[in-house]
Amino acid sequence: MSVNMVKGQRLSLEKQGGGQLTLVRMGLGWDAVKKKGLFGSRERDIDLDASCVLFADQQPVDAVYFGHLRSDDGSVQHTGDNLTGAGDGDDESIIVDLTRVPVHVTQIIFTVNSFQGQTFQEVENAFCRIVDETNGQELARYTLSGGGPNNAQIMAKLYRHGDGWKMSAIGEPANGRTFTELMPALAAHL
Amino acid sequence: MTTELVRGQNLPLPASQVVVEMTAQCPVELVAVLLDADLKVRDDADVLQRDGGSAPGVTLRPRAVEVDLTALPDAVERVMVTATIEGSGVDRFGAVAAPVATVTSGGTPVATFTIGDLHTERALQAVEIYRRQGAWKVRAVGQGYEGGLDVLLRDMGVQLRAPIVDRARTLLAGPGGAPHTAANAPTPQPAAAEQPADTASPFAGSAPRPQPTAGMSDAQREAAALEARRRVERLYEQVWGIFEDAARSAASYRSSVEYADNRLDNELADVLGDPAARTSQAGLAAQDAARAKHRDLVERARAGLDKDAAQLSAEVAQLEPQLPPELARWDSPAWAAWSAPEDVALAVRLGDLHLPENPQLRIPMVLRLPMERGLWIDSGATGLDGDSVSRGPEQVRARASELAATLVARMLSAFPVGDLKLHIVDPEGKGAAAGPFAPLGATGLLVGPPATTAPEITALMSRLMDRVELARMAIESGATDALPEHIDFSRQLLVVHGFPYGFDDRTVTQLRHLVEEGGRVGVHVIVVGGREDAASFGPLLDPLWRAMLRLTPIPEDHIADPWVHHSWTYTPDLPSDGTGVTQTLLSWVASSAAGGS
Repeated sequence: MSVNMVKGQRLSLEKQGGGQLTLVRMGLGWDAVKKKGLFGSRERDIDLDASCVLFADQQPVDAVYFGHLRSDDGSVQHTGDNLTGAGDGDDESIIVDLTRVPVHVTQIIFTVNSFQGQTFQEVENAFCRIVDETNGQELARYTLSGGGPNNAQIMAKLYRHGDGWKMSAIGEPANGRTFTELMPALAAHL
Repeated sequence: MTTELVRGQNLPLPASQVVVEMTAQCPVELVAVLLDADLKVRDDADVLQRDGGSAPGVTLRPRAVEVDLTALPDAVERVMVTATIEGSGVDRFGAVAAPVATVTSGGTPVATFTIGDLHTERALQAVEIYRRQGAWKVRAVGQGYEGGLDVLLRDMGVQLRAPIVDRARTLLAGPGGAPHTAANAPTPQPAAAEQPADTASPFAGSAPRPQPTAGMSDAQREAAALEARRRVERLYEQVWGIFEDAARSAASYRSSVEYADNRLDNELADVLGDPAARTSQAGLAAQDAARAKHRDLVERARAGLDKDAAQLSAEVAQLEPQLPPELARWDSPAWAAWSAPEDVALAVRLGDLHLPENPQLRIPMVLRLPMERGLWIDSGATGLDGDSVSRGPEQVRARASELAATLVARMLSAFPVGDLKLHIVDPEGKGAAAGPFAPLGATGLLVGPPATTAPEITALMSRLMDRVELARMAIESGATDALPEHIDFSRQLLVVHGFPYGFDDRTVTQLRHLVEEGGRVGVHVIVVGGREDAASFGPLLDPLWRAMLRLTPIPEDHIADPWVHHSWTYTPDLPSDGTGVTQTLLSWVASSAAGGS
């Protein structure tokens, strides 16, 4: 059963039958801008980018985004850039093999940026969800629509807890067209 | 989804109808043995063969054992599926490709088990189906028996074994012997069968094998060839998959260690920066704590690396015996089944790669054919840790020539006979480099005598340049059928020994052109030489060296992987008896050429 998460909520990533999750997918989806009216062709496509930054203690050690689709260790894989939001379901996904994340990496923060700089007020039906990739089951979903005049969002954090991992919903608006511009804002959530 | 089992691995069975099927490159006879909780038969009637014995729930087919788990008596704790080759004409499992056991449950394939790493064994325990806490599971056993079925059955407490072994032999030898599957076309192994079991060389046979597809219709042959090619493609992909996983696993380990080192440095600097804290109780405790954190992180990183290495080593161990000859090491039994290919092979093996953290995890280094880049075999390589000093430069040079000869032989064996022709340049050795290719005799595969003088080199380079230019022009203008008849348009392999001896500025420039442009139009180059020897040419040669893939005759850590750019140590695969196996292989190639034309 999927949980509709609210800001600040924490979720333990244990399987329902016990045991830890091994492979999770952070999916991001949004709808292409509707072409409306006479001058609809002037509407720009919305290009949202999902990224994630891997931290050891408080230090960023690797990032996965459209320009670096796989972490060097292979544990985090971006499925590729979607420039328009066309198509149903997840438009961009980041798959994390929790068993292979290097031992010094303790936190992974997921962000969404609007590459062309449009704000989340212009984005329709945007969501982020976390899926147990081993069986396709959605664990949590988090809706972005009705956003403010910001062009980035710090979505969620995966962090080590004991031998396993937990997820925490962050949902903080931020500004920055790529994740590098968000680094100062991320520091507050470590 | 089917699971590829490795030795010892087990898997729950989803349904009570279970079929274990065996495919092998030679006929095998299956025997099922019912065992109790002590791993022994209750009596001799627990041994089941085709046309021999029966038990509720177990049916023997020519190459499969069918089990209905619901019908088995309660006292039966496990059903062991065993196989023997005694009577088949092949004297040991090591002489043929690894047999494969396929497990199907309820009509769905659940697992396959490639039983590799077999040598002189004549019988084996393949897989067992067993009870575990009320549920049935299957386990990959893969235990071989040199002593054959007799010893295997003795271990299970069977009393009267001779009639069972004889029956298996009769079934295998007789006309009712187990048929082969199309996917594993039979390769007659008469020569291998005559060899005593302990002579391991796969090159012991005297003649190349007949085409395994002989006797098939064209359509069957085409289907078999396609299936074989797909199989090799899968293996090739698997090699690259293992390579990438190993590279990334090492990246994970190295980044953790680097992080731990930096953190320790910073934390110690903080403590030591305060002179008062250096010797205080609290300061000493902080230093200890920082070191303990470092140790803990490094240990956990190492544990992860070791776990990955164990998994990947198991995958390599399982992969190696399945590799076709051109991708296998020289000591692989796969060579015994070599036959001239009908199409150019997908790739050839150049050697092995490993990282210093895991010297035992050796990844096959393979080169896609036809090769696009030239190869440079560096006769001036220094190797690891002064290796070249201890060996002496002469030995390194000798090994470089040997590596060139064995790689060329491997390539000739990977192309259909006649599709790859060899040119040798060897002014320094006065043509001695052509010696290993003597078995090619009058086949025409070695074109002309080796070029040993500057005029001969000039003439050969001009011929090859003409060929490249004409082919390039023809391809660009789309007029490939207008090519002059006197030019041979099969692929040409130019091997230059002792470079740059005998070359001048002009022929060096031509060689560079062949290296850069030739690959695309079927002219391939292997250069054996040292950079030091060519110093007098100055920077003219830099682009030449850069354009070629450098291989070293002694291990050296200069190969970068494409994902994270670790430096991998390349170890060439040189046959233990020098070029002896090359001679044998070339004589096989030559007799294929004679038979095929």
